[in-house]
Amino acid sequence: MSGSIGTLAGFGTLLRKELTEIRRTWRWLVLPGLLLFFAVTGPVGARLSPELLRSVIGTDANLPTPTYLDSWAQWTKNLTQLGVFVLLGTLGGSVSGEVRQGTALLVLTKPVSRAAFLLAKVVANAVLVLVAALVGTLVTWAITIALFPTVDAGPLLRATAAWLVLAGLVICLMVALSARFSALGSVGYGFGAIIVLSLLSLWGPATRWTPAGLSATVARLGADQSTPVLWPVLTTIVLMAVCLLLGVRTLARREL
Amino acid sequence: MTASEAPAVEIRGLAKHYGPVRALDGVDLTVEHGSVFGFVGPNGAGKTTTLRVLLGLARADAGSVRVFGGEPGAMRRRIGFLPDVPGYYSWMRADEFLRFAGSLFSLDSDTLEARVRALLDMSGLGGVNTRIGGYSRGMRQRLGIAQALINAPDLLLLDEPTSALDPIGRKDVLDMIAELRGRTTVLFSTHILGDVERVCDHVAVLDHGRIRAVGPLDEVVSRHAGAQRVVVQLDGDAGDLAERLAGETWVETITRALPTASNGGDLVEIATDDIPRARRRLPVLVAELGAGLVRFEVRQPSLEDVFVSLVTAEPDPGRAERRPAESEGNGR
Repeated sequence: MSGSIGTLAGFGTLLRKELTEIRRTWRWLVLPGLLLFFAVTGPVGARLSPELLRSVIGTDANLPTPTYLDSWAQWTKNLTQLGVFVLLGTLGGSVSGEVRQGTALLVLTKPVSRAAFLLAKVVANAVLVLVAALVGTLVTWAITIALFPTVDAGPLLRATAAWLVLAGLVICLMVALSARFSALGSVGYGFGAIIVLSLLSLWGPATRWTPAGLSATVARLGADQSTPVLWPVLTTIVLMAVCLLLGVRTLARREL
Repeated sequence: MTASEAPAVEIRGLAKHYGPVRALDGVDLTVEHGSVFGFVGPNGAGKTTTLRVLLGLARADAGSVRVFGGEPGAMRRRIGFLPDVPGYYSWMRADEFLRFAGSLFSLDSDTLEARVRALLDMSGLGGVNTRIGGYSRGMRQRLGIAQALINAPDLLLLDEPTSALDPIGRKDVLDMIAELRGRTTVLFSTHILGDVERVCDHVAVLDHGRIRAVGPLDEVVSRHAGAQRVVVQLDGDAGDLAERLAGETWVETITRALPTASNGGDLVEIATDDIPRARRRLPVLVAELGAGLVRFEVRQPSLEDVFVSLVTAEPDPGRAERRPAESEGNGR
């Protein structure tokens, strides 16, 4: 229904709008704020956890000395759990919200492709997540260096990179869902998809070969353990592309 | 016919259903270049649906829609559109929204800035530096019209453009539409018939998804208004006069309006095709009743008369089988 408009007509303008919107509304505070909080509290929590535990279970408790890997573990656990849920919650209305408010009507009656409208949201949110994750990673790295005698940043960087792939999938999934469903419906279906991936991750082959293994991959990379990376990442990228195609197709066919 | 010679809008046999509801039922409409075309109908008549199909926002179940001879989606660079309730990014200011809208048309920066300034002046939003989220309905509507003109469109589609405006705002918008005559084709939907009479040269009356009348405004009024109206006001109760008129053969219908603060007394409106006879008989009847004649006025039929007669008329089974274009002409 988009007629003879270029496939990505208006993408640059729409992307600038999305990035400006992130900067000038509450959106720039939520995920970056949360990741910054994780970045600060993770190393501190890892460093102090033995003392905290001893204060609860007694000073005789024989607890291992924490290392920088415990700091990375805090970071990756927060990313794969709370980080993903925040993405689900904030992206549920990315397209449907504009349809409901009538802004999509004003934009999509101009020479703009619906694919560009959707992709601009995906790219803008990917930029937000990338910047937030990079800043969070640098902060958690710096604090870990200050709190622990030896630090190897390799596992942290590899785990964060793997998480960014997972976050990319969540972004594509949520934007695609919001092209079809209301904000609440999108969050519900998105949450369901994450539950399905979690259940699939209990089955070994799925963990090794599909996106279901990506959460575990992030955790193992953060712990500096060997783990299959290639296929979970590749299949996740393929699933991202499928989500985007379905989202574009859904929005292109949707009556406004 | 080349695309440049093609009508601005050409709709043939347009049909659209929403489940069991028939929103459009064989709409035929031609809007020529440069005309100001009023698209009137009661709520739910199918006006907005027609505009949505014209913009490529909704799919037709049957029929064809051409804009300047091409597919509507391919002609968006030449179209400006104002929805009935325009939605904005509340964090933007008016000038930012206009720049954003102009950028979507790939306007060069000089042209864009010049248009933004001109449209902000036109809409009275030039000195407003607050975010759109704090705008009144009237301000939002004026901004909506400004953004619809950012690409200097050849075809301007306005969905109920004056419905949210106060009398001054409405006058400004209608003046602006009138100024576009001859340069830009304007198709606007409304149920405010006075707006159509004021600025439109052509009109289409839509009801239950069907075109009931279409053509030049004066032609539609003269063709469909039926009998002329005579308004009579007495210095007392007009009930007796109404009773006496009921027996007169030259009277088609009688309508009474009870006294209000504005009309100053009891009014009787008589529909008749025999005005000379009305002029002779009415004073006689009033005299026989011993009443005083305060007002006697022959009122020219209006679009409202046409609208009421067409929209409230019982569906004619024979008419229902005819295509509007066959019964009403093609609207030119």
